[in-house]
Amino acid sequence: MSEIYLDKISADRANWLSVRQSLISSNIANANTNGYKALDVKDMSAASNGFSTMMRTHNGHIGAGVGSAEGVGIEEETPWEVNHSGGTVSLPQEIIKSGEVASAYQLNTSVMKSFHRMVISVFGN
Amino acid sequence: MADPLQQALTISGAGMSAETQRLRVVSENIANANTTSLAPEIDPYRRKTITFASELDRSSGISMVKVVDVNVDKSPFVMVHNPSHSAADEFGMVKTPNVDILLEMADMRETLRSYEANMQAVKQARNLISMTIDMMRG
Repeated sequence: MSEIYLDKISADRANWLSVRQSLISSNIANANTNGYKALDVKDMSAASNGFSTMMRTHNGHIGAGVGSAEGVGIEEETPWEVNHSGGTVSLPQEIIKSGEVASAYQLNTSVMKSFHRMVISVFGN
Repeated sequence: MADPLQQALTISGAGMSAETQRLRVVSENIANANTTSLAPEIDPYRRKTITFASELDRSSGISMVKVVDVNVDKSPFVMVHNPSHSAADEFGMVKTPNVDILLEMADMRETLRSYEANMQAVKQARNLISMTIDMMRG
């Protein structure tokens, strides 16, 4: 049975959001690291328009960082502030992004649930 | 490829562990703020500093944080006039540690703030995971 397209979109979205959350964690953990440049994911539209990353044939290979194997693009984020040691992590900025991820993820899981109910209804429960 | 949310938990864990080491250095500095030596030619306690660096974890391909260096602060010692002290030199001056309590307090606050931010990230990742699991409830 082929993949249901709606599910694919939701799954991609969930993956994109979890990579974003992982980058937020990475930024927060490195908030006091000298010269650390904060990272963020590229827009989902960039990923769906044929954005491609280098192929990894093994999980242990060094990639461009978190989640790069899944076709989610990563870039340096536009910093709110640059501290004296050259780091660009702003904790408020990360917390706000984290809130955005939470609400988007909530929406995404609700949508997925409703797709799932649609499928279940076909089988007459 | 490991689940990014699991990686988020690992990274935050590494961040929290780095912050606890920073707090350890702060408390070491505060505890030794008045530690003098026994003789004038021996130096008293020197303030310690801590340096973090971002490190790529090869097994998972994520950039974690780790403590690279616990170094000493090279600023000069504070000289205090106390001729009766065993470490007093011929002018009656005693070298006391270059620890500034105010600075340590500020550092401690900063550590607390970073730790809380990491904790928040952990809570967030955990919420996302449980939201995903909750989808099974229909």
